[in-house]
Amino acid sequence: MNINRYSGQIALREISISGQKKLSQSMVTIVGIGGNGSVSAELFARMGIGKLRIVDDDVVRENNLHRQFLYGESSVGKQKVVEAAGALKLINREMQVEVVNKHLDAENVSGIIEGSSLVYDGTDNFAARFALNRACVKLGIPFVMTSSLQYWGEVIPVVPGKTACLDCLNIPKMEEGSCSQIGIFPPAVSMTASIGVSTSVSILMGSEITGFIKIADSLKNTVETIETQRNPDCRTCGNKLR
Amino acid sequence: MKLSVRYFAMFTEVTGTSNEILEFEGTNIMQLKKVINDLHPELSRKGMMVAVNERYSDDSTILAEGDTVAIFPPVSGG
Ligand SMILES: [Zn+2]
Repeated sequence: MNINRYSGQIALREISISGQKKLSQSMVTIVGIGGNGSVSAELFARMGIGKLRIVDDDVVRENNLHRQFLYGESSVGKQKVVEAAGALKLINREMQVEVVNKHLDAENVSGIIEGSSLVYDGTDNFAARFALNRACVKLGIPFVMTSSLQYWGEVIPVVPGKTACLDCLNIPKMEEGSCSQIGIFPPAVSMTASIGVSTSVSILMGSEITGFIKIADSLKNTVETIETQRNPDCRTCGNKLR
Repeated sequence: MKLSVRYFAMFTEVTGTSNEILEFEGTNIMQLKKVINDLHPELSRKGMMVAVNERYSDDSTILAEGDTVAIFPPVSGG
């Protein structure tokens, strides 16, 4: 580990040498390397995560470039995971990058996240988030959900057995809009990704975290915090199942 | 009872406000959701999540005079 490279964050009480070592020994799987996924991947790479596994089967489109880091004009039409891995290696060549060119589903999710220190949600739909949540609870892997649309974003960390999982919250069904149809303000993405990465780093450091939903508003520049609690009867993480 | 109702994320645009004071005659969140849905019918399509005094709450949570109730949607997108 190159101490000088990370001296700016090692100087921070929350990280220090021991925390930096933990980061360098961590493996984060990012599922979906679009808006939140690509911005977060860049932060993880710069902070010195040991290994990133990036999962996506999509190609880069021109209308991704306004908000998605790691891609340039020459990336358009190419596989996201390949382009992202190339850019991440330029940022930090000591970091290992594993590319998974697959669409995540309920069947392959466990294999995709296996061995992760933490799973990071960069997907764009709740079906994938619920599948990740269930698999992470089952395997006991911390999971950080991030989502953003228009000017707003949400972050929900799930530490299995300690904080509420997504199913504890009974998240209601709703019409899901897509970023390209109803719009996405790039600062909403980087604001959400910052909260997601900061939360992930706390979990990787071993800090005790209490359950929450953070709601970022990039127009007002505010972040609201809602406290959550586990539901002991949850169908996914309830006490009877554990 | 008087409640202070706050709206977060896209609900600020849908309702045109960030907060309003409501005179509420019921007792729990399920009843409050009906009142709010009558005032702002577009909210339920987007899915309503509720927190009382900054704590995530379910439909059976009992409300009290002066509570601050936050109403917000699950944000999709990535
Ligand atoms: Zn649960």
